[in-house]
Amino acid sequence: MQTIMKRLKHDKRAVSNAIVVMLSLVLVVIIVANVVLWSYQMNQLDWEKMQEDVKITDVARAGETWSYNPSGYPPSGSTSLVSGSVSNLTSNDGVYMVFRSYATATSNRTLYAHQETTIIGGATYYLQKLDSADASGTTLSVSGATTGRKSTGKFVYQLKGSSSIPASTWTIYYRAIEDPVMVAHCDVDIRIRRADGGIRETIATDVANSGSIPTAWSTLSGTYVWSAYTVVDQTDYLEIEYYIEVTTASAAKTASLRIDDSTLPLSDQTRVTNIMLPSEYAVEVEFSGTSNTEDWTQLIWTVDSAWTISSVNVTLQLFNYTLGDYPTSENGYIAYTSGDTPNIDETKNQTITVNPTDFRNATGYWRMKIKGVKATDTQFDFKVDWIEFKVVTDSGTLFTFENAGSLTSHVVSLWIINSTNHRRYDANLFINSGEEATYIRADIRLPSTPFIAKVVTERGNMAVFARS
Amino acid sequence: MAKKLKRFFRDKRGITPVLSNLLLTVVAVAIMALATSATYVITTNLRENMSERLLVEDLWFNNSTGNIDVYLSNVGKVAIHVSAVYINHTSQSFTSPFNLEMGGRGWLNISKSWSPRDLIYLDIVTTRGSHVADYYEAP
Repeated sequence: MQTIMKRLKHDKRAVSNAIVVMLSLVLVVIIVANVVLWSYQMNQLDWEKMQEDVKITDVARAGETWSYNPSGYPPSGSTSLVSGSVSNLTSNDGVYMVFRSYATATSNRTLYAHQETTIIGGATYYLQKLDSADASGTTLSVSGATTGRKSTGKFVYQLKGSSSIPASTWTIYYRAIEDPVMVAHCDVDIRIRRADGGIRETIATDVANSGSIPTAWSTLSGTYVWSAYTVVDQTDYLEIEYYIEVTTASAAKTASLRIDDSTLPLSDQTRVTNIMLPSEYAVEVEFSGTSNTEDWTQLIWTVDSAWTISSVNVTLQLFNYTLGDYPTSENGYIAYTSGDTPNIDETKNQTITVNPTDFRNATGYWRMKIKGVKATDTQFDFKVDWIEFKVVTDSGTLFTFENAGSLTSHVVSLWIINSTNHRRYDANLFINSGEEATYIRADIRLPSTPFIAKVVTERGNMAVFARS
Repeated sequence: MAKKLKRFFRDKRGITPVLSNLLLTVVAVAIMALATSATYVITTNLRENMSERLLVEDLWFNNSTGNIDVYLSNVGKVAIHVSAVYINHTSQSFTSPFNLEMGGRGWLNISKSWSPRDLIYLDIVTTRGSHVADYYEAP
């Protein structure tokens, strides 16, 4: 051993070689380690990027919302309240405020004598209808044994929905027959009968005289000049009492009036023509309410209502205080035709994002007009269930993220993109693995739809959310 | 003491080994420094190539300018210098020089007109030769 050590000490070349080899090895190790270590780091970076899975689940305006309902309804038109109050308009709960329509137009109509009856104040009356005869017919006969006016029957038509009956010249057609020898003609009495059976007003007596009744079934006529009448109560009836006046009597003879015979052509049916009766009805209601005077970014107004008749032309309008009027198009204006089935609720709403504050006054007061019109001879009701005037103030944008990956993600960029602008915002949000995070940005104002929101993570992944 | 110093300066045999050792040390250190520098130079280029990560955050077919704007983000571990931009394999002029430090971001404006529904193949090349390429369709 001593010998070996001695030789080593004396052999300087061996030491030098060892040092050179060692240094070379160190250099090689440094080179390789540097490359391998860096490669490992970058691979780890890429692997982490692959593991990252951030999603945007929602992007919405973050703001405070106030909801208001009507507090009053100033009278408008002749629309009448049937039931309910504005307190019924606070929720979509099937509890209605009901308004009744009124006649907005009249036209010359025909009232046909029908054999169906109704009871008024305990007495029986035949009905007059706007529809033509729909039965096999009834013959109303009077005796010709004595002279004088003999009533064949009283026919009524309820003045529901009519505020007046304008002046016109009526023509009354009688389908009549009489036995030979006797002489008779037809005429009428006209009155307004109350719903309790009493007479409100006798309009005319023994008018619209026809010619002499032939001995074969014939259609006769007489005219009456009707003066304008203002309806006192819409539960009243227009009553026409058909008479056969016997001027030459003959024992055991009769004269008859034929009614409700659908086998007859329309021109031969017993009827009154050219009566000015409603041909169009409308409901017009204006609601009003209060709100606030904040700086609104959005106004959403909603009406949920139904009509007791199908296919009503409806307009919903919100008063524009800048315009000084109700708009007739675009914001603040909704027009539609109600459904084919009556009494089905329909919800209509509109979101106003352009100058929503135009629709309130300086104190936050707002007005809404609802109008429904239909050309019909039937009066209908408007049932309003829910009216909401909802305003939103903008306090930024609320992002909702979900990290479905296995690593914590660091969001560094937010993008809001629409057709005119691509806007980037710096962000600094960490989302833990498996967590859902909400993120409010007061400085981000969402554009109107459609837009795309995009986030970029520090590792270079992106998530996209599209709002159409 | 003076005697000892006198003997030290007169003894020429002791100087030569010291000088030779010193010289050997200097040479060895110089060689090591050169080797280390060479190692650094050799590995840096390789490392930088590996470290480049460029992300196209957004591509905007800009209506107002009629050009194409690309928002680039450097998510790698080294600064990036864009050397060329190709659209449909044709070189395009862009805001040059375009450099992004680590973590840097910015708009790269490409002077290229486009039409609606155009489909383009965008290829961005860095000075180290990395490519970021994809297809984009104009709105």
